[in-house]
Amino acid sequence: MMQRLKPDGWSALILPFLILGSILFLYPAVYELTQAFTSFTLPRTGGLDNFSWFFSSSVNRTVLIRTISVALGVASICMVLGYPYAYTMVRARPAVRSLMVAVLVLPSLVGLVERNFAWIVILQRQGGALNGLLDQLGLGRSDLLGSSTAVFLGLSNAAFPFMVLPLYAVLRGVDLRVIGVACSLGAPPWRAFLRVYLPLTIPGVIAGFTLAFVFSLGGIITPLMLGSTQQTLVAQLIDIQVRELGDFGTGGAAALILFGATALILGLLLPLSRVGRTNRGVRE
Amino acid sequence: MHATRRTGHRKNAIIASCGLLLAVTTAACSSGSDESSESLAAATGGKGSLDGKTITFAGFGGDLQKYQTSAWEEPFTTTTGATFANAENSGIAAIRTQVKTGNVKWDVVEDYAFNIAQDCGTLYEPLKGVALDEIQADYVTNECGVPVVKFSNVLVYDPTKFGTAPTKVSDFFDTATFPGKRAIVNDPNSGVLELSLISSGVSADELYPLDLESATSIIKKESDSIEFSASQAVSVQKITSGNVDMAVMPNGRALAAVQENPNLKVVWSEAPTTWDNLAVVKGSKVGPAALQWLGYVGTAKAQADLSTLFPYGIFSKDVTPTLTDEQRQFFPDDPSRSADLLNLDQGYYEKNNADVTAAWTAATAG
Repeated sequence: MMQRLKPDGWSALILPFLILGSILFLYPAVYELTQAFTSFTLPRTGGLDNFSWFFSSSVNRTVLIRTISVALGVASICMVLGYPYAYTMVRARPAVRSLMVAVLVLPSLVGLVERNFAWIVILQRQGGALNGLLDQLGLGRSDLLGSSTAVFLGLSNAAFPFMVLPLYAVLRGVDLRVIGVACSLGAPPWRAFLRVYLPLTIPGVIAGFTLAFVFSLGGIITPLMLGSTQQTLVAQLIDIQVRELGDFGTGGAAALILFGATALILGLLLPLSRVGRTNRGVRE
Repeated sequence: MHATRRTGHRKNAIIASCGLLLAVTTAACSSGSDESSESLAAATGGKGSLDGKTITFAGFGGDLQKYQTSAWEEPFTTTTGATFANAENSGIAAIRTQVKTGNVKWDVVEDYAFNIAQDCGTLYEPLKGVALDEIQADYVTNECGVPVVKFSNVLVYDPTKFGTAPTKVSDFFDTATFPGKRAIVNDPNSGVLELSLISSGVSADELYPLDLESATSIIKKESDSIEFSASQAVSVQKITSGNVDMAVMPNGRALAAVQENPNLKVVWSEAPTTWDNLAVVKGSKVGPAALQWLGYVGTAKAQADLSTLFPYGIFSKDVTPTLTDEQRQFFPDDPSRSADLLNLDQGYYEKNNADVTAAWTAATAG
């Protein structure tokens, strides 16, 4: 098992991060979240009014549920596609591996807005590459742009590296010979994978899933550009309340509710990662 | 919506600017007369009177702000010595924070007239000592803002897609006569609510207060045919590429669309028309200088100067800007259409915009 870090002189190296993080992230975040309890716009006057505003509107509830479902869906898509990708990276020759990393990371150098415009060009009905192909094949054009399919495609595309990179880091640390050992002891390959290899990699899956999930939760540009208004997510609601209506209170409440829901879901995922750790203990 | 407005203006007429350059130079030569700059110098306290003052103007960025720089800022610098820094207005949240913390970075901001009115006195300074006598009284809706940049949301359509041509902007909602996909920006302040009510038979003078329930139910009913664009640029892209058959967009965007696809036609009848205000942010460190500048922006000359660069409407009857034929076709104040526009009721939005936004979000995002 990993040794716990004991505070010593080197720990001071984390101070710059703590100071910067507090000023640039913690303070503004906490400030905005407290607005939910201190800033009110009529007809809301005090107490938990900002929270009752959120839950009294069926749109807000729908959007919250939609946001969580979309984020879980995107993280699941990334997990299913990302696992074989990361595994292939581990097994591949160094040159191929470098190429796979490049394919993964290079698109992130292009801004999210530009990547979404690329999706528009691919998906749009007239002049869209994909629709052109469908038409050539005699399948007819379809309205992909403005659908939830488009939002899933765009978000999964953007979240994919967040799934694969931590997963790859964990997969790389697992000794591939354990599979051979399991097989030599009589396990068929599928069982060697399911019972030996997969449990050892669960922490990577959880880490990647969490990152992809949290990334999608905050999605605002992608649903705005690729979806229709029916794909509105919580981040867009917060944007409307704060930036357009100048209502920090309701915006803070919506943010806090999303934060709470996220914490709850991640809390539910925790026991899963413990499963992985126990198995790792067995190995040692 | 700030996002949609900004993107709209930023990408405004990249193509247009090339064609307009020539017109601009000609217009500037014919309208820049000595007497107006003399009267300007007198009105603003004389040459060099504001030396050393820098006014930060947070507008909508892009081409609009470039045009504003040459039409409004540069002449003022010449006569008074005040210089300008340009920023982008990222929304009411930023202004509120600046005022609250006493750290005002933007001296003058541009926003919808009703938004300025809503926070007049709390976030914006009243226009003390600024005479708006060259602006028609109808457009002065609050004590803090100088009316600027009047624009109309017109209907752009592809004539090859329809047997009969649409004749009024509210035909956007007549999906029975004009079937097919249509686009409008995702913004309840674009006149979309008014258009839906007019299409259901409400007459233009009985629109306010808006019947939000019936407006949103019409929008919901037709939502299968409507694509709500994330920005005006997206609407332009959709209509010029043939992904929709009609779209409602500001007259400046319509100009850009027609320049890209000359087959497109434009309908002006009962086009929802709205405008911005410039206002001084409360606590600005150059308040008096900023107010003086707003006084200049409110002159008929300054308004006309901007419209010769880009066909936004003006607020004065006393001046006729020199426009090219093409600009005139997209100019809201052209005599052929100015009486047929539908001015959005700024007072209504000043009081009810939170409800309007909530109803809109409920109808479109549910």
